[in-house]
Amino acid sequence: MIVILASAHDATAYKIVAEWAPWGAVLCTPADLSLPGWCHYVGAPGKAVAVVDGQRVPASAIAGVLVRLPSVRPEFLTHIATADRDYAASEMTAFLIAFLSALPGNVINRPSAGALCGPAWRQEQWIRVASRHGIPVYGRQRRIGLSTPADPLPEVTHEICVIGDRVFGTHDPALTSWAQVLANASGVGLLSLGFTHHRGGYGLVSVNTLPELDTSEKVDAVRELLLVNVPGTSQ
Amino acid sequence: MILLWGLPNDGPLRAVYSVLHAHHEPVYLLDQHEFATTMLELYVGSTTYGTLHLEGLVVALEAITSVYARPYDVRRLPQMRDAGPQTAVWQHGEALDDALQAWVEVTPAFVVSRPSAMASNGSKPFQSALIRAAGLDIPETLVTTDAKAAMAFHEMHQTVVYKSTSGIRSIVSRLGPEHLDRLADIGNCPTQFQEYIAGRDIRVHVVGDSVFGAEILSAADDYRYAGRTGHSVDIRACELERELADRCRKLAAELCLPVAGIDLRRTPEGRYYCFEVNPSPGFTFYQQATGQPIAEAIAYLLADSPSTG
Repeated sequence: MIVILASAHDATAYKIVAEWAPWGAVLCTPADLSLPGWCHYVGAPGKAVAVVDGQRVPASAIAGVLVRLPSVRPEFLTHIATADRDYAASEMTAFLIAFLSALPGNVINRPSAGALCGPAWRQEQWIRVASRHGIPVYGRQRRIGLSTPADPLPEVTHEICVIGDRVFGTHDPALTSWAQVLANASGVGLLSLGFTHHRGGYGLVSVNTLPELDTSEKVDAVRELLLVNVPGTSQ
Repeated sequence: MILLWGLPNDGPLRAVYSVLHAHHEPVYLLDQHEFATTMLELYVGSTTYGTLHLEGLVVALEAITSVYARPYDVRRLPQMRDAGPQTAVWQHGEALDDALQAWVEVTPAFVVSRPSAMASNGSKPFQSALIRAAGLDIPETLVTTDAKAAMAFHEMHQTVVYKSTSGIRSIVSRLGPEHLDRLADIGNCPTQFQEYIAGRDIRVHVVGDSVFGAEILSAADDYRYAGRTGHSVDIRACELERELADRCRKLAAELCLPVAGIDLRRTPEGRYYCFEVNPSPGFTFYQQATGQPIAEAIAYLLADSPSTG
């Protein structure tokens, strides 16, 4: 089984679930966290139980999880009383971070302490990590004052997507290499990088751990990555 | 310059400021109440630089060698509440807070503590797994929406406590017979249960290489709220076994926390369990009771620590 963790309003998630039906893909939304059956035993990930599609599913039956949420937001929880939504959203996010971090199967992107999908880094942190690894960056400037308008970001001219060891959106060897270097440095299997023309070359502007999966090639690549090392699956 | 960021009436911030001021260290308290008149210019690229414009003072960010960050939730400041969302004041307050958080993450200055290092406390079961991996015992823990699983966990351990899963502060409470009829309610949201560990609470403050132990004598399930349940609380300094102190240092180091408040319990058999690591401990509560020089240790750490480059 492949689980796609997404908002109930994520049209791409529904499309992926339909395409991956032969691989047993199911959608899991934050509302599913309000169904009886979820279990997470700290230090015993093999005993974990999820609830997807209304069914209790042991962790061992989950080959992979595609995470399409940075957190559970209160507005996702319309089935919960308004006064309790902020608290429930925090609790569900905290639960999912622990649950997905420990899950034996492949999780893309595996949560970090502060986010459900990869590192909870601000753009400045991505820029610093990229720069330390020799990737040219377009420096990010912020001028903050009571009546100071926000600094505009440069236009992204090259949007590149890394999925495992594959790179989409460019044939430029330098861009390809930088994208792979940043993915390796951050330990993230799925991310997009936005570059702009800068000083006669390129400069990294932005990074996103929840990239658009807007082509069938990308969707296939994610599925193959999720099913890596999963016995008995045809990728 | 040493920058302290937060509210001037915050006990730990005030205590550290007092020590630094008394020792004539170049310290500045960036008061969140003054956010409306604070301006920041921040550039992050192959280098990081910028300027902080304060009332009557301009500080180059590169001149700041260490930071003690204990910012309060900016949205809850009176000036923000009075202004309300969608106002220029509100947007400025949020933008300044976000930019300072970003700077604190990337500055080469020594920081107590970076937000990314503090984030593990936002998911207690996630942090428990890190604590366990660092070599400290943790109580058996179940987070669940399954009333039957919770009941089985209760039957297995006989005495069980429940508490929040996220970083939202909650009172640790024992699961009693009065709760069992309502266990089905946990189906709405995952709830964290832990086996109850009998014994004495030990609070350990790690400050760099220094370790301060305090034992707490209270019959309350959660001594922080002992008064609410009619219990007393007595806090005394205690010596830690060398191996335990080393484990606490190792845990703080692995969580990238130069300062940490580690909650332990020692069983009558002498076994230690770790419940939680507070990444920004309100140490003054313990310092006042024990006389331990925790503020001094933090001040020295800030004054002496080299930047990370």
